[in-house]
Amino acid sequence: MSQTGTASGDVATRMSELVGKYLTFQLGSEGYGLQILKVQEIIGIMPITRVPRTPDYLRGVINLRGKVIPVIELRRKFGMPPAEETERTCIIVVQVETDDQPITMGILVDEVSEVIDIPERSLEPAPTFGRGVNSSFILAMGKLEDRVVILLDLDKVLTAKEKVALETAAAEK
Amino acid sequence: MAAIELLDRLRVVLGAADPGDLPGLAEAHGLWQQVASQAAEAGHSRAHAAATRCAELVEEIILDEAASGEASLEAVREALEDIAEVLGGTLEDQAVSYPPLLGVAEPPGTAKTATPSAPPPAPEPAAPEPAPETLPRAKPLTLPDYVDQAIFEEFLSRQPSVLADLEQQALRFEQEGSDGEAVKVFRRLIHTLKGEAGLLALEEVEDLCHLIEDVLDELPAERTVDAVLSAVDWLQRAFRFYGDSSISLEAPVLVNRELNRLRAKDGVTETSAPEAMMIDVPEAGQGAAEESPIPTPVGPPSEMEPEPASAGVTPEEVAAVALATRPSGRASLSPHEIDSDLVFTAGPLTADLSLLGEFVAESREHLQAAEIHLLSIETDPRNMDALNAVFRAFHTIKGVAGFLDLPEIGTLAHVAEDLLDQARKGQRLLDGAALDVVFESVDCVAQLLDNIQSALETNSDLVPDIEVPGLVMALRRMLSGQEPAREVPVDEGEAPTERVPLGQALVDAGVITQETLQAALNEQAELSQFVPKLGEILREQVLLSQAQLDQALISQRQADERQVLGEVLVGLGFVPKDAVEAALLHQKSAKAPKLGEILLKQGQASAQQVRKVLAAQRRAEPPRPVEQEEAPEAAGPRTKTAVREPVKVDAQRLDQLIDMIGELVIAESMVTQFPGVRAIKDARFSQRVSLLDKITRELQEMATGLRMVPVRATFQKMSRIVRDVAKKSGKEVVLQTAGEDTELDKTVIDRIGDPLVHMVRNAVDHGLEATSADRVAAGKPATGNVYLRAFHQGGNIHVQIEDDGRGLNHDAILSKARERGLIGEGETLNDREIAALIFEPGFSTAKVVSEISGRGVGMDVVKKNITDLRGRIEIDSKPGRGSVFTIILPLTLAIIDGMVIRVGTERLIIPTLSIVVSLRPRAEDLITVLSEGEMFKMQGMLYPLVRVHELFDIKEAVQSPTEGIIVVVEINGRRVGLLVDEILGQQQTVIKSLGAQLRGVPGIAGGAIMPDGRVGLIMDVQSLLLQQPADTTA
Repeated sequence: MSQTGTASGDVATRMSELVGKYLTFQLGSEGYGLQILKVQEIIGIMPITRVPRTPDYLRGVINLRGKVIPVIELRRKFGMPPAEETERTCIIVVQVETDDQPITMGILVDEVSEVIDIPERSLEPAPTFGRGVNSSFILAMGKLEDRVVILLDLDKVLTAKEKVALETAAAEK
Repeated sequence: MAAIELLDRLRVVLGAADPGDLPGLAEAHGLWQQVASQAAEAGHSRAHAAATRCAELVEEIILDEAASGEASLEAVREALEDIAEVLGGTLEDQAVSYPPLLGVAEPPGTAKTATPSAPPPAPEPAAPEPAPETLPRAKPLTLPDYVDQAIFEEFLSRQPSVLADLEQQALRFEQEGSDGEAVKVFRRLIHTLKGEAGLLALEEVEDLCHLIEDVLDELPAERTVDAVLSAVDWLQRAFRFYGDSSISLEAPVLVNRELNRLRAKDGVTETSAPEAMMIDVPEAGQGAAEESPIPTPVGPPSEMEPEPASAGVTPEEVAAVALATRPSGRASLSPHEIDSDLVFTAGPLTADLSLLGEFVAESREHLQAAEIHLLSIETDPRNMDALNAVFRAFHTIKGVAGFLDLPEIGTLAHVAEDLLDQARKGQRLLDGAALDVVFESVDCVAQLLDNIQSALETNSDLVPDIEVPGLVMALRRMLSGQEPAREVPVDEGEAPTERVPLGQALVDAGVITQETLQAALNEQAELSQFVPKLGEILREQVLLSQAQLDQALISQRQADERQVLGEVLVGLGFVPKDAVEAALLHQKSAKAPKLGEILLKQGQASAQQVRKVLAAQRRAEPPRPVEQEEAPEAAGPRTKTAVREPVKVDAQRLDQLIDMIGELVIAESMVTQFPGVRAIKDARFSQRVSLLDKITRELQEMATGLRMVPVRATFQKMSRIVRDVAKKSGKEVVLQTAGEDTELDKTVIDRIGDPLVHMVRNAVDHGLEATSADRVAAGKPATGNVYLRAFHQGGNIHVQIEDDGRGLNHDAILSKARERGLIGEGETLNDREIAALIFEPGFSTAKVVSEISGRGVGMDVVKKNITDLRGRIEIDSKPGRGSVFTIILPLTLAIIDGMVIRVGTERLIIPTLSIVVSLRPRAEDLITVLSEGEMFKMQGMLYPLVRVHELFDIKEAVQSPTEGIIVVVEINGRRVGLLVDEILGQQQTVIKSLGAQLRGVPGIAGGAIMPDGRVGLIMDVQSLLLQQPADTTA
């Protein structure tokens, strides 16, 4: 975790940058949020083509109006047991910045909840402990009246390091 | 990357590199180029030269052209430290002495001569000479105000094809000599380029073109080829530089020197004066001069000296030479020289008669335009648009006249153009006497055109006009800054003291009669009634509806402050501003012409006469600023010339269009295949659906065709390579090409260039016998042949490079491969497998196998490039008879012909290109090796069997090969069987990338949208085979 060592002043400025609109979704009992600017669209579940020799959290690829995009299964990525697909299961199509170019990918989630505004006072830095989750891709925690959502840093969900891991995992298999 | 990072990385790369480490060297090459540009930015010119040279040295090592790779590497390593210190600021740029191999001149302080002790071999003849000195930088690009950025970009975008053409013509006239068609075409191209460069104020380009023209005028064309080609190379770099200023570019000093050296040499060998004098004959005059070799020179020949600049050029003089060869440099001539080249002789018209007729008609139009613009220059000598328009008129006339062998017009237009050029560049004001001469030139050219026309009509000889020499001399004196000793056309005394209307003044001057004036005035009045209103124009152009116009007129009336209608329309957002401006221009051009113009058109008065009176008229009143309305007139001709080109589309937009069409096709099939839609049982409906279907398919076909480009340009580049390599290796080689019109995907064309260069170079350098004596000894003609062909075969494109040289030495390859452990002692290979060995990385960089040395240099890179394009290479070589390399490429990158197979529940696509056969094996054909690897027997041969379901971890698939199908695939002569459940059918699919994260997945080449909208995966047979050994032994 890189943020742990930063002075509190830095954390404050960082937090104020995170104020804004988030799309929230559910994975099991946990609520998550994505910066709305990263979200391109939400589509219903559709047939996903598995790609052999890739890590299991990479669910496969879909045809998004003629473009082939990968779909990440966030449950597996975060080490949660897979869930049955229901009619609420959907794919959030997002734009992710990688080292070289922005890429479009889908993330498979249990259900999409709503778009919320998160003010600065509701933001809290990411916890330094993980719950089986590599917390480097948590931007912050959003405390709402009735629940807490984990705000994800999508750019880090699939980092360069993991891309390398992805390739080596595939090669070893 | 910052300089420090670059240098650090270079240290790492170079530290580990050896001459065989191609990837390392390639990286080093790129890094050096970046270092070079950073050094240039920081103003360290010598460090820049050194770094550039280092990049070249590395390139030489890569191409195996270095005399000693190790020595070059050592020099490069040494230079790195020096350059690091310069860039780091610890050493002065001028204080460093670089390794001699770099050829960077010693700093001025050291006494040693700058000659490098071991001159490195040039990377190739075409490349710039290794910088033996620090070259001045090329001038940065500064576009004059009147040049639109868009026009400039359009100019730049056209140049690559122009340069390719130039190169091609140069190669042709090397064969044909000065009399062939190629020289003419080349000249015309260079000439046009010169003109355009002049307009765009690209002085270095303009000067270089001028110099090339001169050289071509003076020397037999075939002797100029080397210099001309290096000039073309410089131009190529220059245009890249103009497009991207981050690239560094040296001033064309070396090229200029090379060209001048040619001229100088010629001056020494050929002492006959008329020849040397030709320097100053504009190209237009050459035709006549050649036809009548001794045109009764006015001055004694002995007095004529070659142009000083061209004799005995020393490097120090080069800059001066460049200056002296500028058009204005013509000024320093003595009267003798001028006179003699102005003696034109009578003779029949030699050019195509229909072209001449066209020329006369067109030129008259140009002159008319020029006259009108000259009139506005009269009122405002600094009117740039008008100056440019007149310049262009003369320029065009000069160019075409030169082409049509009309020396008189050509010479006259050329000098007039030079004068206008000075005015255009602000070196002189075009007024008074200068303007008079230009007006006279217009009249004189018109007279000459009349002469041509009458000669055409009466089919008689064209008789020279006596006025021309005098006029040209007047122009030349003007150019040299001597005002002519001629009377000023309008006397001060004649000037009326008060303003008299033009018409009256003309009548007073006796130019026209009162009646003519009245008629002209009537016509003017009549014409002015028809000036359309702005609203009408816009309505006509369907930019505005009547309702909108009414509304705008009402709001115009209601507004407190009265606005112009155009402003109201723009304000209301009905019409874009550009459109209003265009319409206003249109309106202006439709406005009644001025009286002078009418008289001019009617031929009642000459421009000169009108002008004189106008000048007198103006003197009677205080000068006033040019009216705004003059400008549109001047801008008129520009738009007229700009539209002839075909529409050029940005490649990115084209790709987007093609992508969108691809999506449309899929969307269309998803709609028409939708169960609900299919259930509709209405004949008319299905008719419409099938129409939609047909249109979509056609659209798709067109979209694929859009990206197809003929291979011609790429092939043409090869003739240059062949020439250069042949020259370097001292061989006589003829390149024969066929099928230049074969079309390939643009991306394929772009990426096939480098491999082709490599293979063609190999064919000449290593494929053909070392000397023609060797060839004759082998019973072949002395001249070697290299063939380059492209053709369709079985849905693929084949590109063949064939040479009739030695062929591959199989024994040498085999023993080398054994030595390197690529094959076992006892292993036998078939011819194709042996040939395929040369694609092994670094296979022949070691110099043991002299026979094929270099044959495999970079062949692994070639193969990788081709494989990336989903193509393959086949080699067919007969010892002593030559080799044929065939590159087999898919038609386009976007579409793949594939066999759809099923394994378990998954569908996969195998490229048909790699499938040999598919079969269902019998149990006795299956063999297990060491209870691990499986093999199967086919036609008496054993091949390894790969179970796709195991490879891709697919469950519920057929386990027993006897129940499934074996698809046999072949890559590079190696065959492998793939076990699949069943074959579903064959299909053309659009190949799609799986995206950045999935690029490296082994065994998968990409995805394809299946007819049901799902994604199917395309198998990468190549990579399957590569990892096969690891899989079976695991």
